[in-house]
Amino acid sequence: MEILRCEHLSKIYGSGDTSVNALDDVSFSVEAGEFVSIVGPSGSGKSTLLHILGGVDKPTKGRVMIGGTDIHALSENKLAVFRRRQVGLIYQFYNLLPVLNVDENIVLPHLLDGRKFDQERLDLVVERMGLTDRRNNLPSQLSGGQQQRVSIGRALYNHPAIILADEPTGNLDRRNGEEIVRLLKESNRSQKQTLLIITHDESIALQADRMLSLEDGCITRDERIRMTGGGM
Amino acid sequence: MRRNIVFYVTRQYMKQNKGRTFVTFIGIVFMVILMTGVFIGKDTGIGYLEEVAALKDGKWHVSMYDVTEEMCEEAEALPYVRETGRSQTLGVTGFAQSANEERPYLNIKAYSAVCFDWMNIHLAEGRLPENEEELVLSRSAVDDGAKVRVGDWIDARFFKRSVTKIDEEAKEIIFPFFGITLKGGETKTVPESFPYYGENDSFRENIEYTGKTGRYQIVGVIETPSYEDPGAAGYTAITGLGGQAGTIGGAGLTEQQEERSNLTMLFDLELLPPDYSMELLYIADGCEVDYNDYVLGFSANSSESTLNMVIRYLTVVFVALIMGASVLLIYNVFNLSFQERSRYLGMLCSVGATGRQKRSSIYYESFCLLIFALPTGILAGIGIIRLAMLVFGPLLGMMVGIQEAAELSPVSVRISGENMAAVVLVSVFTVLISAWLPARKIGKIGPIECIRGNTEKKSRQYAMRPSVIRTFGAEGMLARNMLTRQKRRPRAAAVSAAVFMVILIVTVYGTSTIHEILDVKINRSVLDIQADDYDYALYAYEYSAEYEALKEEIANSPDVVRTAEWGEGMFTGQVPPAVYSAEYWKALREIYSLYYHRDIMEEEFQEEHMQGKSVVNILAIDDKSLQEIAERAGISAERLMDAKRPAALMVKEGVLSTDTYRVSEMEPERYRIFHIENMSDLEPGDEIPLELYDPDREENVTIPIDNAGIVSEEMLSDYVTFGNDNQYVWLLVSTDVAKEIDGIAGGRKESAGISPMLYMKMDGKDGELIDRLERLNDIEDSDYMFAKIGSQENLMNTLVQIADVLLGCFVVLTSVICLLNLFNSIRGWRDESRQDWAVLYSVGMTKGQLRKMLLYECLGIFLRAVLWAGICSGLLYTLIQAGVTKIFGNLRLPFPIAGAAFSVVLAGGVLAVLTLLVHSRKSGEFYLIQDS
Repeated sequence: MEILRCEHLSKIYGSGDTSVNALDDVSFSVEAGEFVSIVGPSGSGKSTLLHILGGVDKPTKGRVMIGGTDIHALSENKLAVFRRRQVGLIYQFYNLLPVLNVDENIVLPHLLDGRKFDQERLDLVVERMGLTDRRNNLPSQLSGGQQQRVSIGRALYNHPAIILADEPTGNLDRRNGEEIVRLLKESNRSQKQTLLIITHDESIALQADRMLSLEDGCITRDERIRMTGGGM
Repeated sequence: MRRNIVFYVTRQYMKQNKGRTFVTFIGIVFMVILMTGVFIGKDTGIGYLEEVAALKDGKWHVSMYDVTEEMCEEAEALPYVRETGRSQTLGVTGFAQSANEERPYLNIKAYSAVCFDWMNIHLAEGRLPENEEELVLSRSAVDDGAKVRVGDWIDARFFKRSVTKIDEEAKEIIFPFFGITLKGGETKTVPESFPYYGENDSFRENIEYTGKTGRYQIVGVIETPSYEDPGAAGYTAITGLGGQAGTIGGAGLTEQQEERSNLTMLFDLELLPPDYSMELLYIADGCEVDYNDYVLGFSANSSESTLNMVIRYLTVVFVALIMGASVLLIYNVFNLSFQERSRYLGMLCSVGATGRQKRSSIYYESFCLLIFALPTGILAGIGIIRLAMLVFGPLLGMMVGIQEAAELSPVSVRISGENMAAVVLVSVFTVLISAWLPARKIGKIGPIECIRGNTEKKSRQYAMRPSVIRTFGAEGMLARNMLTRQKRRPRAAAVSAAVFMVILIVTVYGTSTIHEILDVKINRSVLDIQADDYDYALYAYEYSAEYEALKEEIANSPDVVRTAEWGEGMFTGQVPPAVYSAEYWKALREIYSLYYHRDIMEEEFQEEHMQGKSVVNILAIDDKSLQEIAERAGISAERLMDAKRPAALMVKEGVLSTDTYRVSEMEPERYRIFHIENMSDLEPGDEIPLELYDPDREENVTIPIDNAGIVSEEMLSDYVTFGNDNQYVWLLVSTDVAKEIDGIAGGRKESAGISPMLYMKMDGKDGELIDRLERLNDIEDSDYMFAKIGSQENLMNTLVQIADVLLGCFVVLTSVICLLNLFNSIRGWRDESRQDWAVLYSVGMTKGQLRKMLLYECLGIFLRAVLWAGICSGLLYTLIQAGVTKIFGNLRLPFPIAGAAFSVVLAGGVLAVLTLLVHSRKSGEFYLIQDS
């Protein structure tokens, strides 16, 4: 079942002579539960694409359909609600709130939805992320790998339909990087969550079901590596 | 290559942060404007007020009338007398060229050259006289059609005027406006302002030539002098006064002028000793000495040392508050940019920049701003002062009751080298202090902390608070954590809000303190009758037949809508010491102790000072008001109206102070004021044995007065308010009872009777009656005084009003600095929070939720600011009160609760509005995308 479709996406930054065409008529679709890696050189438009898919940036042209909804046609508030319920965003630099401890950072999207948080689920997520003895720490008191695990925990806690990860291992050493990918793949498999991951690391890219290559804002290759849900 | 890379990087940083640099610049400019206002504005304002005050009675300081040559010389030799002028009244002469048959004379005076300027004589045509053979004529004569022109000659033959009663049938002829009563065939001399009645059957005007003659050429026409009475028989003409000794000329003047003349003085105010008036009175030896109170008062070097002290006190308080607010503003800006600044300084540090170089970056930035802000601020300040004087000048003139101020030419700004130096020095010092703390802080930080930007290290753990989430939602939790776990970020906003509140509270408190100081130290009034509903007041010496006739005439005039009659009897009666309360005697004993510079024991005090009788004052209230007051006090008014069985209401409170209660020539140890809650321990129904001196019988007469009840000053506040010289018991009686008392104690000038006051409400137009009543004021030794209500603005009221205007301007300008500070802090808060908001946005926070979170944060900041402001204001309040009490005595200086509440609400509102405004401006522009 198709969960994500983007049609003729373009994104131009600036205007006139200084304008930059970050995305140029990008179209593709993703099936539910699929694990897609997006690769490409720096400045090829990977992060822009991910932000547009996550609803934090708007395309200059084209549309993004998630679960049959054109997300950029939604009002600002509805888009925010969409983000908190349907999308889990993971960044290279974690982007945790420095004033919230591990638990609070993880449940933040859920709390913003005005719902009471589930302590059991929180305990489970914290345990899965290996942060049980760190749950009262602020991000500044955690290592990079721990911070990224908090960021993944935050993305996973709400059972989002799609997880978008922007170079989640880019700031980590190999051991921590592998651990993060393992967690994401585990979630993809066990929760049937759709996972889109931007990476420069070929070994990570090759673990995906499908690999999209971007160059100068255009998809230059759409390669299926294995069938959806397949293991390594 | 750049010669100083640190300065170059600092300049680049300033260019990149244009908004913050601009706000800081504006803050410094405002500080300089305020400093300019305090130092240059004060001098300009006072100078302008001197000019305005001079419009009222002229620019002279003191005049001595009818003094001898020796007296003049003695006064002229005084070190503080800068300049003197002489004048003489030459007398009355016929004016054949007059076209007004009711004004057939000329009243000729002689002025020395400076007196024309000092007495506000303005030319309408021609020139001023240069010698004793020339004169200028009042424009009123020309306007009336007098057949004279500039260049004509006037032959003067001086005479004295008198009137003789010729109507044998009339018992007496009264000129109530001149205090003249003619009986039988009496002849009485009349003053200069006496009208010309022509031939009539009642009296005859006599002319007695003095033998003096003179010939004068008219060289100019002057605007009608303010002292010329339009009803007088003569027009004003002024000739020159020749010679140092003041000999009078006039071509062919036949008789040498009398020895005596009037001496007008202008002082060197810097040299004026506090007791100069005593010295002048001594020199005048009983001759009249007149003080130009307004000019002296506004010079800020007046003989009243308290005024000087208040002005100095105000200057210091203003400068301190401006410096405090400015230091916080500039410090805050540097502190807010600490994080960003530390990055580039850390980079410089890692390549070898020393702590001194890092500090110099801060100083360099502050002085870069100051170098442009200083001239901008001074020029803007001077411009604002000039504009303010143009706008408020006429207003200030109206405050002192001088309408002509509106026509005063624009005032020049008084810039002295000293004041300019003070502005520059204080501004530089303020900026230096502001930059010093952040510079010191940044100089100590090493390169690693600078580059990482995490100078704030935390080791403690923070547990999640589900109760907070349940109660306030995610927004509440976020706001709480923002405030409690990252204290530095909201601190600047909280400090700014606290400063805003403290400045407002302290200024409100300062205003009431200055009011109180001026009120206590200057307003020595005993009581003030609230007669705002009336237009004019006629004050009479006693309830005489003449007064009653005048009262009847006034009451019957069609121009008068209504009248009310009050009466004031100061020191009218005496009572035994027991009438006064123990509280009163205790306060008086303390006053004596202060005068004697030792503690006086109760026994000694009783023996020495409580043996004689004590004074009581009497206030006669018009029947209607008395009935209303009695009703308020729950007392039957009927009891008060019976003159045969006199009864009185007793005023509960009183005031004693070392300023108002003098003990011979002694000086008290320090100033003290005592607000007495109960002047008497007598109960309603008790008898007050009032002793009155009967001047006819030359003995004391005791009248038992029934104490009908006790009324507080608050109950009386709509009718009469009591001042700070209210040191005796007041008995409030009806007019009939007052007349009864005055019948015994009044009737002679040396006795202390009750003086009636007749308040008049006009029907909107001031007719001939008012002209006639106004002439009562011109009579020498008049039994009457007539005044427009509200026109008698005294110095204290004027000063208080001017202080209010100044404080208002100060509050506005300081508030602008505080607002800039707050605005800057909130901007800094926003800049530092942007990354967090981007994260929140990415995880699904809506704008509404962001606003809610900000308002929660705002509330937290506000509560913190209120706490700090409460502590700081409390400390400042205690300090100011202690200081003021030490200087001025135990004044009543209540904490301004209403003002404080207003300040808190205003600060809270401003904080919330600015927060939402600043955050909504660029709320969509998050840096998450670029940063990640």
